[in-house]
Amino acid sequence: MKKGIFLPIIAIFTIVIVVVIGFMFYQNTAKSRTEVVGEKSAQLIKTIINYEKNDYYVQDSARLAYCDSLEDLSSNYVISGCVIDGYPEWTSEINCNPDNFDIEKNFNNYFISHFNNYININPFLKGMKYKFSLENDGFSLSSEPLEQEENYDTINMNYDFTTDFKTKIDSNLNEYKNLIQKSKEYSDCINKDTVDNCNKKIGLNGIKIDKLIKFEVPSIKNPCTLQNINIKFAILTS
Amino acid sequence: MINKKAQEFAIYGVVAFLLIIFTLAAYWYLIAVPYGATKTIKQSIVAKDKLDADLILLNYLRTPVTLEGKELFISDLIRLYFIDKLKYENQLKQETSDIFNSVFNNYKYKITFGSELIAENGFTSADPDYMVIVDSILPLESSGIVEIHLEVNLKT
Repeated sequence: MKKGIFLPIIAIFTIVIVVVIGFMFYQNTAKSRTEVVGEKSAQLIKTIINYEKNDYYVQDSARLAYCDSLEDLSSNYVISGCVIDGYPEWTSEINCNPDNFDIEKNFNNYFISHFNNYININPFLKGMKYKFSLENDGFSLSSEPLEQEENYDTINMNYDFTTDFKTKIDSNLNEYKNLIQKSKEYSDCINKDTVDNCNKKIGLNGIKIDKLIKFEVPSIKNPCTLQNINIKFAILTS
Repeated sequence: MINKKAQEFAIYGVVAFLLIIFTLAAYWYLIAVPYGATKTIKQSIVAKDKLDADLILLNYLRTPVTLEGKELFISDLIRLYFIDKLKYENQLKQETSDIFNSVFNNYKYKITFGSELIAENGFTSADPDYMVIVDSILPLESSGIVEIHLEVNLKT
């Protein structure tokens, strides 16, 4: 070997080695760090979050359907053939007696109709079967299992969506029942006394026009819209 | 004379060799490897934040608010906003900004209801890797719905 060539060869050789080692180190580092870690866990968590979203949607829809049903009850609290001058007539006669109007049955029908509309908008909840029951100060709702399928890149999941909750709500049907009771007391009162005196005694604000006493009671508040719900009715005097 | 030149050449050679080694080492350890690692760490954060944003949007909807003396939720306030925009617009936008400003204090976000912008903090779109987009639907009165759309730019 020529003098003076040994050192440059060593230098070049070392540089090549360092480059190769450095490149291998970089490749290994990059490879090990680009692997996705915890993907299945993330997908499971995502499914749980979706479940929570659907559960909240159901609760929200149930509250809305309850409020819509209160509105329906107020505007449709009419027995067929018992409307005078645009006001539902409430009398103790059999045909127009508000006791004949099954308040709970009608409310349940309104609720089912509205609630089905809400959940059918959500593709995950479409066709969900459930049980709804009125409570003293709200309602309870529990669903039957609804099969859901989630397909991800690394995992497929099937789970049963169920929801079960009780909700307290400000306005309840007792307010309607109390109003019917008051209307009966008012009917008895008006046979013996004047409108002004009966208004004071019973706590209703009736306005007499000819033989008709009209009432618009705004005591019930829609808990969703915070607007007063006016219940209109009229009593026919002799 | 020749020996002295060879000696000088050898010294310069050693210095140059050490400089090259030092430069390469510095490149791998200070630029190449940290750059690769940083990119991967960012991706992990993005994945985590996508899940978080979904949950944050849900929690936003069920945040309690006081309205006319009643304890309701943001979801109720949104519905009231769609009934009477003039009356509830200020409160809705204020509550929404307060919630998201405290949650995303380092990130830019934008929240829209349908096509209506409700709150944002200087949001601009970024590379898709750094964008988180989540949606939720909310039932409205009379069987309607509104789509709530949250976009977050994770590039700080």
